[in-house]
Amino acid sequence: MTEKEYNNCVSNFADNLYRFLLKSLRNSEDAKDIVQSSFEKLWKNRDTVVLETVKSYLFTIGYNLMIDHIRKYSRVDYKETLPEKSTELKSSISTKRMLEEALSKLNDVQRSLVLLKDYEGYSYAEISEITELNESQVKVYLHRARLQLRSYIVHPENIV
Amino acid sequence: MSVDKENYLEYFLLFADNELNASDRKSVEEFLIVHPEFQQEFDEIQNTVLKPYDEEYTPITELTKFNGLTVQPELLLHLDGELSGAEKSAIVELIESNETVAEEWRVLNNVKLQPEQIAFPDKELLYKRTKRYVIPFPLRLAVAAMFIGAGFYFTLQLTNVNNNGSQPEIDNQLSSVNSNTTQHLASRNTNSNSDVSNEDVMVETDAAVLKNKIITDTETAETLTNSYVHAVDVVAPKNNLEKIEDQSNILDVSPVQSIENPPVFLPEEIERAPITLLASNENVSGLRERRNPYAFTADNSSIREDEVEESSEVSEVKKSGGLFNKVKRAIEKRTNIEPGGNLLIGAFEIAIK
Repeated sequence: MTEKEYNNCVSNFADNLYRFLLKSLRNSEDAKDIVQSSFEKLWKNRDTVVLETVKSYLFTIGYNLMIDHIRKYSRVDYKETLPEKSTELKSSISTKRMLEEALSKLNDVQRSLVLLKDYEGYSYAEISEITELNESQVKVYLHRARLQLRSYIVHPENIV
Repeated sequence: MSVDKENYLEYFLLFADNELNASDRKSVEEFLIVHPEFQQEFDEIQNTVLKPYDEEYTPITELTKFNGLTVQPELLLHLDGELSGAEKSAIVELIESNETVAEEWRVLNNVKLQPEQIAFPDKELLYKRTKRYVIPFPLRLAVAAMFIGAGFYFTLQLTNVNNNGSQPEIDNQLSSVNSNTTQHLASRNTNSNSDVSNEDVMVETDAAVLKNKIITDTETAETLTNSYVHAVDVVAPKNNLEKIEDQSNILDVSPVQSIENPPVFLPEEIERAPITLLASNENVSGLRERRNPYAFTADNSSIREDEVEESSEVSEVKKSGGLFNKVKRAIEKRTNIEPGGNLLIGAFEIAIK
């Protein structure tokens, strides 16, 4: 990978990776750090990375760094953004807002799967490569996450 | 035992766990038909069951008793875009034809996240740009001038070293000539003869003239010294003239003739001269031996004044050529440029030829 190709990767994929990490971590500074670390790794390994799979490579690095970061700092607090009585706010907030809240209720893996699927449009096979899960696990976890999101939207009061 | 409003929940859970036999399962289904208000609760319990999706796929067309929940996995696959063409068309047809499935599909569609634009703010930090240090043009000129000056300086130094290095050889030759001359004169004194005095004068004046020429032109010193040796050789062994290989050696004695009242020896006179004085002298034979290495030079060089001047001009040209050759060799040696390559100094490119 040449310097120009690397810079093209920055232009094309930095926003996507940052969005994925920001939505997963909900901390912009941590997301920025991980994005920079991911691209640094890409630059160091630019001779071995295939240009066609560079996006998956970046997301794999970013995902692994994010998991390490979560394990190390445990900064993610799922309940901090949840309203105490979400039923009262149900009518006033938009579906998108509710969905974001529901997304924050998911565990790290499920949330990552949903983000990779919906934001980046990866297939189960591609997600399985990024997250190092097998394809069946991806499918099961993703469907569970969907149903959990659905349940939150339909019956948010029942979600703990 | 039949299903009723008191125990329906237990039956629903057993149904979900697939722990009921066929008759009990039929009882539950009949209960739901009679009491449709429990259908939603039944579906929600069924929804809690984790389904192994890697089991063999059941075609949607065979799902005759479906409701919104039984086709949920297929709806999710459709939502994720993971269905093939035939499966996809089947589920689309099902959504359009079944209201319950359509409602489920609408809810699931709300679950799907809509991509939003979030830009990474510090993208400039990620770009890599190889920094190339461009030397300003004046600085390049200065460097080029410095290199050229250094090249000339080293070349001059090398030239001076070469000139200084040849001087001791010339001095040695002069001292050798003087010693031979002294020995020759001493031997001549011991064998006094009326012709001796003339020959001594000739030899001494020859040496003086040769010294002057060596001092004025170091390039011709070696030739002149050889000529001097020839002159002595030609004059001395008159009885051994048959050993003189070429008479042109005898003719090349013009510097000797330039001194005051020099005796002029024509070839015919030299051949007739009955000189036996130095024939038996060992020093003369020594001189004759020394002559041989220089004989070729003496034969092909001239010690006449005009030719000596011409030789000096040629020497100057050779010096200039040697200077450039030394510069070229020094540049090639210090820059490792292949012969015939180009030397880039600042904005200048010099072909090394």
